[in-house]
Order: sequence, then C-alpha cells, then structure tokens
Amino acid sequence: MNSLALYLLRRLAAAVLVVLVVSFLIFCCLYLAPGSPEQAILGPQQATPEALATIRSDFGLDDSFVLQYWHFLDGLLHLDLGRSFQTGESVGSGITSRLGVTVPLALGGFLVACVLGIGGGIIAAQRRGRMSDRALGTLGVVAASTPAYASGVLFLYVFGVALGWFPVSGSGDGLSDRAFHLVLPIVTLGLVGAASMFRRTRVAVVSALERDDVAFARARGLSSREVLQKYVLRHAMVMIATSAGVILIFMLAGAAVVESTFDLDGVGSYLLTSINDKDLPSVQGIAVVTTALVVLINLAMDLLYAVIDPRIQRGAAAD
Amino acid sequence: MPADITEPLLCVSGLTVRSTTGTTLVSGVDLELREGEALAIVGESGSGKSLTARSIIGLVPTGLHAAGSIRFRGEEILDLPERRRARLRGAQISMILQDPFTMLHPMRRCGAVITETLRTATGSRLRKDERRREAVRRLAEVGIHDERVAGQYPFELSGGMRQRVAIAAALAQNPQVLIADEPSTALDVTTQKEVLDLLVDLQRSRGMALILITHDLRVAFSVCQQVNVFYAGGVSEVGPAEELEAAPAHPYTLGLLLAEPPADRRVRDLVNIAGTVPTPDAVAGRCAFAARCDWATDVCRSIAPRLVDTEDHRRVACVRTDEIAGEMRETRERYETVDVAPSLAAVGTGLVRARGLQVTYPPRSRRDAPMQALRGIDIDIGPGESVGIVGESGSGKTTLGRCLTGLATPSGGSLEIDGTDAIAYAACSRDERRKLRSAVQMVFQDPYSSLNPSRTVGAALGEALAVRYGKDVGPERIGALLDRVGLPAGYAERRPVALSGGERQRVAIARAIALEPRLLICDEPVSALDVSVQAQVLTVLRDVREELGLAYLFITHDLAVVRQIADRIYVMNKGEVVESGPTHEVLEAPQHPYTQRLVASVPGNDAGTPSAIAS
Amino acid sequence: MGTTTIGSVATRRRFRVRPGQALTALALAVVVAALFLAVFGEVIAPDDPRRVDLNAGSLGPVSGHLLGTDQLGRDILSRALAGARTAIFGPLIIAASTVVISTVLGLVAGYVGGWTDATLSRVNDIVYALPPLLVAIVVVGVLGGGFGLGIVILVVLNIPASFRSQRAASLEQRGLPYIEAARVLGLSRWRIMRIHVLPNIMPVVSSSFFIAFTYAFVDLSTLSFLGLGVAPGTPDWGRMVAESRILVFENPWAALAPLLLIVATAVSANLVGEAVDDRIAAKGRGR
Repeated sequence: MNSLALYLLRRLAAAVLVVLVVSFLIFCCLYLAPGSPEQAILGPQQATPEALATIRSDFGLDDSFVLQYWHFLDGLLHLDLGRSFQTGESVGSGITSRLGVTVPLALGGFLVACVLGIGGGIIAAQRRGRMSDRALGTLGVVAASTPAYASGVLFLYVFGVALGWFPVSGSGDGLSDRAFHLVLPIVTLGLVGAASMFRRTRVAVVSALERDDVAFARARGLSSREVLQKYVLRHAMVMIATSAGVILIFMLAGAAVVESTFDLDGVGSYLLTSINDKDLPSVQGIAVVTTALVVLINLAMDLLYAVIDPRIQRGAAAD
Repeated sequence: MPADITEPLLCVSGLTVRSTTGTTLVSGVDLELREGEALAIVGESGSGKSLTARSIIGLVPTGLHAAGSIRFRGEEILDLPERRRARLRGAQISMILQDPFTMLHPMRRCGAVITETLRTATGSRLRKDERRREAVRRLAEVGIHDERVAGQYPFELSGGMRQRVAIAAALAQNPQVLIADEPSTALDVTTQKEVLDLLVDLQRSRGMALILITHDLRVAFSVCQQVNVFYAGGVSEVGPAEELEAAPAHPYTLGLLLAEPPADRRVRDLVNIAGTVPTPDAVAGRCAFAARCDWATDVCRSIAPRLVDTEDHRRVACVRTDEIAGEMRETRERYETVDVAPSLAAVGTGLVRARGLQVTYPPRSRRDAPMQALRGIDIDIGPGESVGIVGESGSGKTTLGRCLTGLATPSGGSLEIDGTDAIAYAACSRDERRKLRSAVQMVFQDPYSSLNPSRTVGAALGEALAVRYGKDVGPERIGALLDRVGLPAGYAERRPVALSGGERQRVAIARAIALEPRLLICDEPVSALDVSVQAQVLTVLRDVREELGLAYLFITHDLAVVRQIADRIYVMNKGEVVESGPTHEVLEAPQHPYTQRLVASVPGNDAGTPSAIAS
Repeated sequence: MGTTTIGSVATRRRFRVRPGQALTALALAVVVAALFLAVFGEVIAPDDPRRVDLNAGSLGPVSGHLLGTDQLGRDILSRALAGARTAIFGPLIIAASTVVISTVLGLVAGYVGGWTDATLSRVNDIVYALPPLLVAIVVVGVLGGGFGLGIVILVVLNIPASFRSQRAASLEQRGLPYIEAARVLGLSRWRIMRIHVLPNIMPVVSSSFFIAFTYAFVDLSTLSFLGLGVAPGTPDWGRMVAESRILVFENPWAALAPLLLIVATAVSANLVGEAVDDRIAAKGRGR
C-alpha cells in the first residue's frame, strides 16, 4: 500500500523532529542549570584554576552554546552520547550496562499490568453493577491512587522484612537471583499500570457491550464466547491498545521510581544519581534515549490502529 | 418437540418487565403468534413494545427483569438458562434492530457477518468457499445481486443496503420467527418502503412468522395481518389489520388513527390526544388511557380493564367498548370527511430571495471530495407565506435552513432576507446582523436538546425577550409568551427535565417567536415526537402563524405533515430543487420522477389513493 | 460464564445492600480529616515537627513519642500531622490551576473551533505525549527549583488530559440545538460559552478536578520521595517515607505512618471523585 508507506515516512520524519526538539529543550535546560559544570565534575574538593581550565577545555565547556549543541548532535549521529562528568565513562555504555535491570523490570511490569488490567477489566465489565465489579473497581482505585514508591516500601516491609520472603535490596547476580530480586519491583510497577489498564479496559468493554451490533450478534445466536471474541474485544481493542501504549510509556517513569525505591542499579536510578550529581551529559543522554523510545512507542501505536480498524486504512471517517 | 395442535407458535402471557429499582415498564402483556403470521406491535414511546420484543428473544437489558410466561412451541422459554436460550436465538427466533448504521459490526465484512452463525450438520464451521457461496446466496435472497458486497464493510454501503445485509444475517439459520424492531424508521422514506416490502416477501416465501414493532399504524396495516396496539406498558387492542383500520374499538386506537395526519388532503382541525403517555406505575389499577379519553367514566378510573374477546376475533381492553362504538364511528366520520381547501397564497416574493445558492462542506478526509450540500438553488418566500421543503436525508434541506439563519455559510449564489444581503452573516455589520436575527428564527428537530437543561424555561424565554427589547423583561411578558403556545405561566419555573417532548417543543417555538421574527424556520419540528403529540405542536404552529402573520419555512421528510402546514412546497433531492408548486398540486400530480417515488412510498399509499375508506 | 453481559434475563432478584455508600462516607470522612490536617496539622501536633534530638533518635513508639522518632529524633506523629500541608495543598493548587486553565482553553477550543482549536489541540497533543513524572523529575532535578517549580511543571503536564475532556465536552455542546438556538438569537460568543456551554460541561470539569488531584498527589509526593520536591527538613509525607524507610527494623512506623496517610488520602479522594461522578451521572439521566 503506497499511501501507507508515505504515511509511515511522514510519521517517521515527525518523530525525528520531535526527538530533535526535545533534545534541544533538554540541552537548554541543562545550559540554564544553576551551578557550574566543572564544579560538579570535581565534586566538593578545592581545585586550582588550572585544573578547572583543563576540565573546561576537556569537556568543551568554553565553546559557545550553539557549538556545544552542535557537538552533541554530531555525537548523536554517531550514537555517541558523550562522557559522564562523574565517572568519565561513556554515557552510552552506562545506559546499556544497566538495561539488564531496567528492561526486565519495565517489560515485567508491563506484562503484569496488561494481564491483571485487561483480565480484570473484562471480568468487571461483564459483571458490571454486581458486587464483583464493585470490589474490583475499589481495588483498582486503591492501586491507582497508591504511588509506586509507597506500595514498594509497603511490599518491602511486609514481604521483605516482616515475612522475609524476598530480598530487601540490590539487583542480584545471575539470572535466577536477578529474577528473584525483581519480583517485588515488577509487582509494584505492574500494579500501578494495572489500575489504569483496568479502568480503561472496563470502560471500553462496557461501551462495546452496549453497542447495537453486539445485541444483534446475540440476537442471532452467537455464543457468549464468540460475541466476546469477535465483537466486544474487537471493539474494545482500539482503546485497550491505546492504553497499552500509554502504560508502556508510564513504565519508563515508573521504573525510575521503583529502581530508586528498591535500590536497583538500573537506568532509572542512573538518571536520578546523575541528577543529584549534576552529571549533565548522563542526564541528557538518558533523556534523549527515553524521548526516542516514547516517540517510537507512539508511532507503533498509530500503526497498530490502522491494522485493527479497516476504516482507517480505507480512509473513511470513523463511524 | 411435541406441541399441542391448537397452541400457537409463540404465546406470551402476563409478561411484566420491571427494573431493579422497582419501576414497571411492561405490565401484563398477552400476545399470540401463529405460524407464518405477520403480527404488528404498535405503540408510542414508553408503550413497552421494544421490551416485549427483547423479552421474547431473551435480551432484556441489564438492570431489568422479565417475569410471566413466554411459551415457544409449547415450551416455557422465559426462565430457560442462558445457554439453552442462546441456542434458540437465531435458529428459532431472530431479530433485527432499528438502526442499520449501528447494527452491523463496522470492522467485519458483510459476508462474514451473514455466515458467522452457520454450522455444518456436525457443528463445525463451514469451509471458506462454502461460506462465500452461502453469503452470495443469502445476499441474493434479500435483493443484493452484487457479489462484491460480501467482501465489503458496512461503512461502504448505504443504509438500505445495510438493513438488507442485516436481514440476511438474521435469517441465516432460517428461524421460525423474525422480530423486526422499527426496521424502517431510521431509513429514508423511499428506502423504507423497499425494506418493508422485502420483509413481507421474505415472510411469505419462507412461511415465517414476523413480529413487526412500529410506532406507525399505517406501516403496521400495510405489512401485517394481525395488529396489537400497546399503550403504557400494556395491550389495549388486538385484531386483524383490516378490521382495526376500518373500525377501531379502543378509543386510543381511534385517537392514533386520527392523529396521523392524512397525506392526501388538508384537514381543518388536526386531531390530537391531549396530554402525554403515562408510565405504567402511574396508571396502575385503572384504565391507562382514562386520563386522555373522551369517553372515560368513573369505572374507567377505578378498575384496570382486561383484554376481552369481542366479535370478529378481536380483543379490547375497554369496559365501554359496546356503548361507545357508535359514537366513535361518528367521530371518525366527522374528522375524515372534513376537507379544507388549502389557503392558496399567490407565489410570494420579497421576504426571502435566494438565487443559485450553493453550500460546499470541506472534505472530511484528504481522500474525500468536498461535499456539495446545495448545488445552486432558487427559493422565494413571501411575507406571511408557509413554504414547505420536502426531501430525504442528504437532500440539503437542513443546510438550506441553516443558511437562512447564518448557521451555515453559502459558498456561492445570492441570498436576500427582508431586503438585507445575507449571503455572509459573518461579514454583516452589527446592525445588519441584528436585523437578520430578528427577521429569521428557527425551531429545531430534537426537543430533548432544544433547551438548555441547566436553565429554567423562564430564563430561556427571558433571554430571548431581552434580545428583542434590549433589556430584561418582567415575568408577565414571559407568561404571555407561554400562553401563546398554550402553556400555563407556571411553566416558567420549570426546567426542561420536567417537560414532555411536546411541551419542550412548544417552549422552543415560544423562544423563537419572542423576537417577533418575520420568518420562522421549522426543521422537522415534530418528527421526534410521538404521533399523539405531533398534532398538538402542529396546531400550535398553525395558530401562531394565524395570530402573528409570520412566514414559515417548514422542513420535513413527511408528506402528510407538510400537507397540513404548507401552502407551497419545494421538493429537494441531492442538493437541488427538483420540483416546486402549490402543495396540493405537487402531491396530487407529481411531475418529477423523484417526487413520484416519494409520494408512492407513503405507507398505505400503494395505489396512489388512500385505503382508509373501507367501512 | 452462563449469564453474562447485556440481555441475560436477570432472573435472580438482587438484594440491594449498598456497601458502596458506607465506603463513600468513610472516604469523605478521610478527605475532610486530611483537609483539616492540611490546615491545622502543625497546630495540633504534640511536638515541634522540626525539633532535632539526636539523643532520642530512631526510637520505636514510646510515651511522649506515640509513633516513635526518626533517626534525627524528630517526633513522627508531629511530622505526620504537619506533613499534610505540603502533601495536600500542593496537589490542590495543581488540580485547581489545571482545571481552571484547561477549562478555559478547552471551552474556547471546543466552542470556537477552527484555527484556534487546531493550534491549541496541536500544542496540547505534544505536551500530552510527554510522560509527566519523568519530565518533572528531569526538569525539577536539573533546574533545582524544588516544590514551586514542581507545582508549575505538574500543572503544565496535567493540563493536556483535562483539556481533552473539556474540549470534547464543549465540542459536543456546540452542535446541540440549544446552543445553535442561542446563536440564532444573536447572543455573543462569550455569553453562549459562559451561560450555555460552561454549566453543561461542569460534570466533566468536576471529574477532571478529582483526576488531576489524584495524579498531582501521586506525582508530587513521588518528587518529594525522590528528594526533588520540598526542601530538606520540611515535614512532608513523601519525604518522610524516603528518609525513614531504612528504619524498618528500629521504627517501621516512621515510614509506615506517612505512607498509610498517603494511601488513605489518595484512595479516599479518588473514591469521593467517583461518587461525585456517579451522582452527577444519575442526575443527568433523569430527563
């Protein structure tokens, strides 16, 4: 489909533009940040003016704003995110070395959110108005209103300290140990996402159930399961997919909070440490990578709609 | 399935539907359907007709509860477990709904919808080529011979086509009973007749029983042998169509028959049934119709009449049937013979003069072409003249009304209202705009959203009067305005929620005439109202015009209504005026093929002459 | 799975106990209590919430310190009572500003339409695509603006969701006959928006307020937890959890008390919001 390719190209160009704009905004933000970078690099120790000058030229801090941004962009093109002020190591490798914690955490949380949220949402919608629906709804409200760090600390206390089932901190070594260490963080992260997924799924399924075409399908004798699969879920799918995208993006922010709550050495806690240490290149690098991810997820979602709904492909206005 | 030979195919008795909060919606409905019979359930909104149908097929909305007895082939089915109930649906009893635009899954191809319920003898799904063959065969049965339709999505089809596809899907498993809930109401007049004819053909050729739910007695008479009239959650009269039409035995049936304005002549007094349809709970323990009945006595107000067999296989829920039969016949004759010649105004000019008026809407998406709603039309309206615009959806009739009020902006042509150039409201000076506003006012279709729900009637009218007089006015002016549309002054305190549809529409008329306009545009003002209330609003409109001498532009799809109100009509189709002239001439001797089709599609108008004179 | 979804004949009669109402009443009580604490928490605190006493650090519940002390010997109960101020007023300010701004913008975009709408909506979409918490972390962290900047950023980032619902509601109103009738009467745009549109989108506005409050509450306290919100030393629920979570063995109450207050407040506010929505919806149905 030619127009689809064209559409794709346009969206991709827009995505690149967004990443550029955001990277520029972040750059401005960092440029405006209070305190001088070289102080951040050296830390609290006293430094000779010569040492400061060396650092300034080393990190190109004497260049003009535009030149500095240009260097940064040039690096981006070569997938070089610069060097950390703090450790001097490359920001790129700093991120990749921590993906081993963050990726399983975010994906695990996403999975928990989808399974609990979608499953619960469908059940609640089918039993709407009944006790089980209300109970699930109240649970959903509790999960949605509890900040991730709060449930994290609570879980740590209950399952880590009081019951002693799970480790209290650290990322663990080796696959099974790492998985074991990640159970509580994943559940913590997943629950917040599940609450939002639950609410949106329930609304989507309830409105799908009230549709005429669903009533008509039932009137023609389709079984409950067929009606659910071919009609109700098909309608609810667009909204569920949107929510899934939103929640996947949420997982990025959530991971930072959860990593810091559970003392995990992931990209999120790397970001927070870098912020505290005024390690600007690291903050910038992580922010740009995250922006790119957010934009990509949004793009994938838009493509997904076109697959789900034939009306979009055929260029007709919805309904 | 062993069945008593005398037992009808479907037998409903004492059916009651209540909500979980205790409100009664259907109270004690009895119904009998014989094999191969076409049965109509006729009623206004709130009569319980749709819920009765939903109960029969076992799809009562959540929050409602059906009790009583429904026997199908002698077997009690109301309390069957859901799994067994689902097996009856589609295979024995099937149903189509009102709106073809929402009934079909927008993301499934028509062929898939039609064949999805089909199974082989062993219960497995059909093979792909078999499904395709079945889909094509079923489509042909409902008059669609274009095989490609099977592969198309509903949004690629017209409303009439969608309704045909839906019928094919509902009949896929060859059910014994088809319930059709207002199958033609959402369609255009000309398509309505096609769909109804198709239903009749299918019912006869398949020997299938049909339950037709409709608010329109004429539709019921033209399609069904047996007619059940519902009122306020119960059955008021049952009988063969011809006999009911010839001599209604229940005052409500008579009222309904008379309230339908005739399409073939203009009557002096439109018959209306005073008041509105009550809720079943409000009339428990007495005759539901007593409050609106001319013949009601104390007996009617103290006991609930039961359906009683009368002669000619009819059943009537009225204690006074025999006593009042004669009077009812007289009433009917009196109204049906009165014929008033239309007040023939000369072709008026001067108030509105449109030449080559065009409206183009921007395309909805990049791929669509811009939509031409009006393709250059000429319209003249003289002072004090009542002009009708007749057309189906998409004819541009509503756009025309919106142009005159500045709600739509013409893209070409000229428009002059009361001597002011009104082609671009937005470009007019303040004074010009004020002049135009006070020259043209409008009444909208939907009474339920015509009034701001958060403001009282008095506030709404006061606002309009303030525009007229340039300052806030006292309650006596508001009271006078309400009086003009036949509402008590106390209504000023009410909010729209506390008003019935007919009352809301009267308030909307009052608001429009508050500015003392010279032209009132009425966009389908009665089409959302129940038949028994329509006449009330039409009468108010007639009276207002007589008193104030204002001109009307009456936009409608309903030929019978336009006949009662307009002196001269324009017939519109696809953005063009295809025919115009004095109402009676156009409707009695239509020249343009489109007008002819329109006139022929009036229900019960098969031979072009009314079939009401049978007794 | 036998009886599901629409249409199943509701044969069994449901007895009508309403545990929901009791829960709503409880939630309302908690919200009122939280508001009370936000105003008077510091006054009724038994001890000075900022007083450091290193000799009495990390105590469990003892007489004089009902909930014990943190590692600096500050009284947990007093800090928890005083900490309501920032934890609740911050989100209240955010929710109120968000709703006021988004309602005005949404009303204008939805009712006026055209270019105004296109521009506002486009900008809104861009902001909407940003993950609020992450942006707040980076911006507040880098610029170091603390609580005030956190509030401003969260207002900006919370506007889009609220703007969308208000715009959609106004757009829906715009097409309704009573709005068109008002236009035909020749009323001014502002009068139509104020008198005819605004009152009828109030249900959406009220529901947006509660949603914005919950998000703001969660996000702002998360910022505090991460050390990016209120200044160090300020009694604030989120910050208390962060500072005291290492005391799980010595005095778990130091973290649990503010934590439970956070959860109770957020859940209750949310439940009250839902009850208000339901009430309005039920009122709207009775036409």
